[in-house]
Amino acid sequence: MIPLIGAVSCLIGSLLMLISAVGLFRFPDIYTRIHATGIAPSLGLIMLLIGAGCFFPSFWIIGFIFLMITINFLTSPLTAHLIARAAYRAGLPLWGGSVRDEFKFEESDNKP
Amino acid sequence: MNLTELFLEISFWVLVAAVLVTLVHLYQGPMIMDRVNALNLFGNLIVGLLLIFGFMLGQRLFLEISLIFCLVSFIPIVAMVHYLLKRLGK
Repeated sequence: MIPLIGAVSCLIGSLLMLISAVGLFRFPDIYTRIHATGIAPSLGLIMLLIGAGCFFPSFWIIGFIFLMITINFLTSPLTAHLIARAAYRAGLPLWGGSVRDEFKFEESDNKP
Repeated sequence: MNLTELFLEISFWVLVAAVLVTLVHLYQGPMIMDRVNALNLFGNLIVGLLLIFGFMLGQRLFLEISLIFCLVSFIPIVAMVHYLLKRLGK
């Protein structure tokens, strides 16, 4: 029964990763694509790690899961932020439906 | 076939499909930041694929390999973005 729960959790996690890969094609803009690739694979990896805890039940796996989640939560926002910063400094265009560009200087911002 | 093995097989092929979609985007991405972004996703997908390998084969060694890959996979992204920004500054 417990490996079945792990397999269902693995299925959910891999579907989340597939959603993230499809988001690369569906989103119109580099910044929204960073949204797709920076957020969804973390949750997918957590579901896969729940599967790991169900398939290899031992004391060692607890430290493995927490180490993996810690490493992924440290590195995933870092890479997303780096890519977004480089894309903005390279001057890549925003999507036409974007509401507001916070970094762009406008004349109306100067008024007190 | 056992139901657990069936679910693992399905999740394995779903991850392979995700890797193929990411590789297509890595090939045809119009800008270089798109390619870097696709490479970032590719590292995460390979970590998941190694975990699924470990579950299917029943070996714990793949879990440690995936841990090492998760540690290493963000370093090329940082290096690429660093050199792209350096090229931009000139």
